Amino acid sequence: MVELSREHLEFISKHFHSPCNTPEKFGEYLISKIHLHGTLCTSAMAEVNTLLNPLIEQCRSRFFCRIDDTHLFKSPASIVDKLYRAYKARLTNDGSDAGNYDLENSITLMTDLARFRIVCNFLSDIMKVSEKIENSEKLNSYFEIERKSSINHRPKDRKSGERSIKFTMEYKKSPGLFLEIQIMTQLQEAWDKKDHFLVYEKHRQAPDKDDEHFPDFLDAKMLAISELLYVADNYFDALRASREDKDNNEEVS
Amino acid sequence: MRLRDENQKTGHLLSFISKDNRDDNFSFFFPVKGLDQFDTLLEITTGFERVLQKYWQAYECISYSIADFSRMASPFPEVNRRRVYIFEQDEFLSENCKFMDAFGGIIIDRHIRKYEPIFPEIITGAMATGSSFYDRRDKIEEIWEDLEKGKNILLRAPRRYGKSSMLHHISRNPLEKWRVCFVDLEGGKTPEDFVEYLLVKGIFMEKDCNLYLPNRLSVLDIHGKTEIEKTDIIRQERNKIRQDWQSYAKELLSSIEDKSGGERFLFIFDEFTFLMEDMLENSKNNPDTVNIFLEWFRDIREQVGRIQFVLSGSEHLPTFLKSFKINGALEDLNEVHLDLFDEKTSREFVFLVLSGQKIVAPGSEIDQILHLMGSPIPYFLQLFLDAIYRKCKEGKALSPNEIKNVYYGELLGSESKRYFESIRKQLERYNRFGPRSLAGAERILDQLTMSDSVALDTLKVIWGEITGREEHFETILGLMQDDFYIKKDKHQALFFGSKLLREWWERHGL
Repeated sequence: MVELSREHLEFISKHFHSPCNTPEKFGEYLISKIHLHGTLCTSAMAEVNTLLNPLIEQCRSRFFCRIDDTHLFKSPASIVDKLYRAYKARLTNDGSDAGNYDLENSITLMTDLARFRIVCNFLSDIMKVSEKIENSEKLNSYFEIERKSSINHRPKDRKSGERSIKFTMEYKKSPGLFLEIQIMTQLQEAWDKKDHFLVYEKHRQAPDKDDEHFPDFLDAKMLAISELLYVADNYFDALRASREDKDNNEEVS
Repeated sequence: MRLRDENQKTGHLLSFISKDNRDDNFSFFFPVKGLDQFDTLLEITTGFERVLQKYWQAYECISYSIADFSRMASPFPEVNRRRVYIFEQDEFLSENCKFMDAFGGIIIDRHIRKYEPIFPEIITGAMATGSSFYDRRDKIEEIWEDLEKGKNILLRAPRRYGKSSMLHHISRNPLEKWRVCFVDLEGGKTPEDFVEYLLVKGIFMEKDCNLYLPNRLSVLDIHGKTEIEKTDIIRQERNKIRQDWQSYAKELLSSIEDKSGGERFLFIFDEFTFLMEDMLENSKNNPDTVNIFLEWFRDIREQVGRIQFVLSGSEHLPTFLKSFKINGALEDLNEVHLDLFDEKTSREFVFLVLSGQKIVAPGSEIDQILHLMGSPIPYFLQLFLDAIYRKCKEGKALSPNEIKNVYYGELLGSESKRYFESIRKQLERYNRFGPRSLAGAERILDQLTMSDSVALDTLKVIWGEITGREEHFETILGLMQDDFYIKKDKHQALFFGSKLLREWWERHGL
């Protein structure tokens, strides 16, 4: 959870309309703005659930995947932080990719205001889920879907430790209404939850202060663990394939 | 109309949280099947936010997407899981998918006011008490206002309008500094019975009221006695009452008056009309006993200061007394009339009852129920809802046509005899008012069934033809007004005020 700094509060006071420009009121204002995102998130979640049920049924002897409905919405503090960073980048013209957000356009430009996560058991399960979503006629009829995968990123393309598939979905009937679906393995999810608290937030708020924040190379260690878990995921999937293929063959014979 | 589908686990949770105390919250879960329901879900969420505006200073509404309701973690730390209710979207949407503010409003209202339970139960026999009692807030307020001003009340309404239920509710929820004693007078035939019922069916039944008894009785601690001991005490007191009922009643009421201190004492006499009718019959229609009793009772009302009275009676009570030349004995009482639920209240009531039984009923079908019923007489409405509930519980989805079949087949069908037994019984007492009175009344009902309305004079002629006399025509019409909801229009024509009763008579009486 982002903690609001003095700069954030000044930003709220200056840029939000009265009476929503106070630490007590700005959250209520932002939540009311993402009302549509909430209902869209529920409807999409229900749709995806229906879509995944046959796969879950196929793999009923083991855990296949689950939908994680915690942390569905970007917190008001995170939204403010994003707005503030974009504002600062514009002022300093520092060429960073903080986005061209302002209070008026943020709700229609930010693509991750609402999101849910599908947590899978094996790497190959991620692929199956991803394929289902990508090929769903229903989802495609309602959304413009953009898929981004960071699972098999080469080292030069790695920007963060997280390995997942992300779908950015724009609701066709209401352009600018976005939803994000993230798909990752249980191991990656576990890593993400730890990293978010230990490294991510600190790094995001002050990207140039890693030496100061992580003198013990905590950030490097976390990245290394992510890679270890990537190896583990690959190995687990190979083991799964050997066992499931064997079982399938026996069933056929 | 069908049972709610509670198998769908993904959905939207709307939580209503008190701004002052987050522990005070309640939530509604709406299962969602997929993207096709996005627009309606949006309509529901904005609808609830709109109806919550009434309480915007006290409550806020926050929504949550829930992947699996059966494994729902706490969406917010203080969530009150006992106050999480499942609904379907259809329960709050009109045919053109618009949020029905009336239903959303009433459900929010009842939650915020913490009515327990939120949904009135189906009661097909006895009085609707406690949780089953619904609404009538305005009328109850009116009665208490009158009582606080020192007035005594005659509550009038036709049968099955819910007088007893309301009075029972009043007796269970008195205002501060009021002690209430409810006495059911049905079965009483004499002034002695009246005094005995006041003691045995009233004061003895309420432990707290024992304190007000004359010392010789209060020391007996009747509530601590065995049944045999109680019977013995009652027998002894009955004998004393038979010797001089007026002195006995005076002793009793004086004691209550003396021991009330700063409190006020309210007697609710339910079924006062029955007492009057049975007293007259018992004295072979000689009005002297009733006259003596009513005059004595009027004197008592004038004498006592801290004791007040609510009498419940049918609409015909004054006409009835007048026909026996008993005049003016109840004129000091403030008359309060109990009407049927208005249209809005009836719709809300049906919605809440069905929703409480997990039945999804579109607004149009709720309207159909009320249209089929005609006047929403509480007792019959409950019977109808019960029949619908039983059908739905069998797993059947009821189409509008099938709802109609439930009405005509179950409520008015051949198996429905037991529902109308009390009406048949009431009819039998008509012969107290002279030979062939029953036949005359039946002929009037026949005539009213065959036409939308019949002129009063025509009915008078029919009455004369059947009974061979003019006497008691008005009395019988008064009775029929209460028993069959017969009404008179401004042109002095009479008609059935209840579609249901008219159709029942058409099928089973005509």
